[in-house]
Amino acid sequence: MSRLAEPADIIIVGSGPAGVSAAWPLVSSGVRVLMLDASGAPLPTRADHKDVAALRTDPARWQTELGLTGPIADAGVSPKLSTPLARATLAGFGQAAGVTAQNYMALGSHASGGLSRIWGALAARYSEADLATFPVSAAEIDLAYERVADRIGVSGGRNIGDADMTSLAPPVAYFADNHRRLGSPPAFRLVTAPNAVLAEAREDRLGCNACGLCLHGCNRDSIYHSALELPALRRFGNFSHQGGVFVQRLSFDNGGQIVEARIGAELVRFRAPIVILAAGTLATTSLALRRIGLTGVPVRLENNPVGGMAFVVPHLVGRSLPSSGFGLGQLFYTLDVGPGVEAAGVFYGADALPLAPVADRLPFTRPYALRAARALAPALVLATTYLPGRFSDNEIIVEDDGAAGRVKITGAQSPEAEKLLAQSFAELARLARRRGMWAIPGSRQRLMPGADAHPTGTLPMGGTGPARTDGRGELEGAPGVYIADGAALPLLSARHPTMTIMANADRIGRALADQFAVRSGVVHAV
Amino acid sequence: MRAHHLIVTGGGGYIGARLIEFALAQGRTVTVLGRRPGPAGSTHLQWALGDPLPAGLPLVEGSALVHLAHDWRAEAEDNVAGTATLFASARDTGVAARVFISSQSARSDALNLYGRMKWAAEQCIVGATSLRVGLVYGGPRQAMYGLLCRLARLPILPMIDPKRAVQPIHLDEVIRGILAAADGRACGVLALAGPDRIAFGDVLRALAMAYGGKRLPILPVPLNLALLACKISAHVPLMPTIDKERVLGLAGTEPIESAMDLVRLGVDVQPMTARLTQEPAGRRAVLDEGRYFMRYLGVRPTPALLRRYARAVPDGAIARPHWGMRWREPLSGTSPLGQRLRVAARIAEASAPGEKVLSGESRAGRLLGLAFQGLVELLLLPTRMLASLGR
Ligand SMILES: Cc1cc2nc3c(=O)[nH]c(=O)nc-3n(C[C@H](O)[C@H](O)[C@H](O)COP(=O)(O)OP(=O)(O)OC[C@H]3O[C@@H](n4cnc5c(N)ncnc54)[C@H](O)[C@@H]3O)c2cc1C
Repeated sequence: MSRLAEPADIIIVGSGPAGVSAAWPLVSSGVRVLMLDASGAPLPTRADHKDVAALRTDPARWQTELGLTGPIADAGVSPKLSTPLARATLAGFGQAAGVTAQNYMALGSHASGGLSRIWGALAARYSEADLATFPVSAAEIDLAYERVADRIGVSGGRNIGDADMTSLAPPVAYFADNHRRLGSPPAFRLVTAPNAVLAEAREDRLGCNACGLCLHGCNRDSIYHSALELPALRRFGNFSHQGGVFVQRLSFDNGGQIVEARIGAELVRFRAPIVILAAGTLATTSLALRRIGLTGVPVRLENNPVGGMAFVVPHLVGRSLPSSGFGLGQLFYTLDVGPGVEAAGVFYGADALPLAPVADRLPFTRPYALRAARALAPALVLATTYLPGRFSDNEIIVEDDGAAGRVKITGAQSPEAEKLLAQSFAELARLARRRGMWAIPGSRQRLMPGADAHPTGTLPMGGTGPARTDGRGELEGAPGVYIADGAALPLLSARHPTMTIMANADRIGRALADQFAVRSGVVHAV
Repeated sequence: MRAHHLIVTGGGGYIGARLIEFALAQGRTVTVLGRRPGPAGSTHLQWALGDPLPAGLPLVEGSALVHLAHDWRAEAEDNVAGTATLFASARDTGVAARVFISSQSARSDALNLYGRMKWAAEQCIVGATSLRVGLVYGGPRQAMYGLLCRLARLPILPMIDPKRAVQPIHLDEVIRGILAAADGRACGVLALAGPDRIAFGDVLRALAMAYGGKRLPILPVPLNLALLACKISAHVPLMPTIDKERVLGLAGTEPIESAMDLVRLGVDVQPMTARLTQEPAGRRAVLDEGRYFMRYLGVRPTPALLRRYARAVPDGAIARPHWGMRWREPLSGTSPLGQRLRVAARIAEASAPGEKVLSGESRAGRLLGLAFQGLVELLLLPTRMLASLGR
């Protein structure tokens, strides 16, 4: 039943952005790393269409968009989550991790690469004010940002004034153009979306050709996901990666950390002096809290309260849909919605998205709604608005029940969140109106807590509660266990968190690598 | 002990035919006793109710008798006596497992003759197994099930005591139970009926929904009036004849405790609503539903798209309008109908025929069409509101 794998200095649980980012500095300095993830069957691949127009006219199109079987998501679910790829990426997580949730959409993944297989790739960085709350210098994080950005390849992030806007969807370009002419009010900062998408080919990845099929998975690997880095890591002799390993609990003895896992039906134990948890905030929290015996008590879980709304650029209504485009975020904004409160969000074009979610919300009869949505699509701009995590008010309770524990999440938002979202919507509508876009009445939508997929902050670095980590991510009450994913973030800004999670993981990995070099005197041969 | 050889009476009936088909498929041998031969693969011996087991029956080790035959034209006493004769001779020739197919209505004081007679027969077959079968549905639309399917198609159903509890069980589940009894898994008097009690009216409503995609209004009728209707129906041409015995059989059904017996027999009874969607008629109804919705959306439904629709709605057909959808479509997207329409719209949009419809025309044509249809949408609002209230 029990098996000890080949010796590793450090076990990393998870091959998502956090796990891979923690691995790089360790592996390249010679530390022996064993990375485990819970991946099962390979994710579905899609047929290779030249562009979104080729997909639209393919008789088998529905297979790509809807999959062969399974339910067809309704309007309440983001189109990003209803593709066959997304369903496979999310499949099985909640059940295996024993998650029950109330008013909370518990998203997690057991795939190789984790949620980054389906992420929006928006690679924003935290502001100086955000980073001031971290128990490390902003300069250290900034350096880590640079290293991560170099590794994964980030495009965009430019001021509208000096950006090339040919790649934008026509209504978004129209809006951006007007913005350039009008200038930026200080409270509203608009840039081209900083995306973890390659503009040009690099190693095994091709540059983005704006085929518009982003939603269904990038066949050119232009869009970053962390499993893309595994081949490069595997080239190091001191790195090994094992999929299909579902980690159930952590324990320890004199020899160090023990990772108890299930491979199929077999129970397996791995052992190493140090374990880094990067299983995604929800899974990591479950493993960590059970490890320190903090079960049955509520712990604060942050997420970004989030909403969406739609705009239309009237003179584009009824046009034919472009045959290609870019399906991820096009513009990124931050907006001051109160003293010290920054909202953030993304503008998307709708020309590469399925129309049904738009049609679903129109009060017409279905035949008319479909046609109206189609006529609107080329003129449509969709925007999201995120609020800082402090306006969320979720609770997570981990129970030491069964082999893999249970997780109970109760979602809630502070009453202010509702108000601030409304304020942000109103302000966006006003700004958009002056820039040639009309907010569509009734299009405002508040999403369920958790639907942002940014759960964080259960084990904050430098926190004061019983569930916390220190400035290097080491778990209070469990020396040798490090937290490298969103669980350790001391603050969830309104800006998308993954770049910061990765930068922090890189930093934690680097600190550990230094420690190893000091401790062992020699570095293992590469 | 496994019954390698089944001796079956009543092999041509609703249950019998399916039983033989199953048994043969499982590699058992089957001898059909009766006037007519059974399906290919089975052996046939002449036999009529009242006869003992015919001579010349190959009596291999592991033979089991399953007695399903019932002569509706014979006198009650003849049915009982015939059963007794058959079972006695089977016992004497060493047929170990002897299974009598009885009825949930078997009681000494049953309202219907059938129930009283089944009870009487049970009394004179010591050492045999009696299976008291509940309301059987599924498979070929014959017997009671066939009648129910026809009734569920009526625009409005007059019904005696629609709240009367019945215990539906699927034909295949019954077969599994019979084979288990033949294999000697359990013996004595056993209830082979669904564990859940369901109002009889709801059974018909479920049939109307799953097979017809419609709601079935039920008009409760006093028993006497129903019996009168039976009498009349027998004399009016073109009207489906309703058997008085069946009416009485249902009116007199009393609940039985079946859960333990089902465990003994090793039969897992699924809820009726779940099984109806698996029946050919249930599948057809879902495809019809998808086809109607796609046509409503103006998109040609291809078989592949319809199958995708069916896979997206595993709960089977729902009640829906069968015409005039445009002015009856509910305003809200959260009603079952609203949700299904959205599923259909999603499929329509993601289809090649849908793309053709949506991308056609010039910009001006498209906008003009939308403007005109927009006016129509306004006119449709009041009736749609009314329809939403009604649902
Ligand atoms: C639709 C969508 C869009 C998004 N868009 C953006 C965006 O635009 N910008 C942004 O910044 N963020 C975005 N995110 C969030 C982003 O995907 C996550 O922040 C990021 O993936 C978190 O990385 P992680 O490594 O912490 O965890 P994950 O990516 O969840 O990876 C977890 C890893 O742990 C493994 N694992 C989990 N449990 C176990 C276990 N018990 N045993 C063994 N292994 C286990 C998994 O196999 C996986 O390898 C989005 C998320 C979604 C779902």
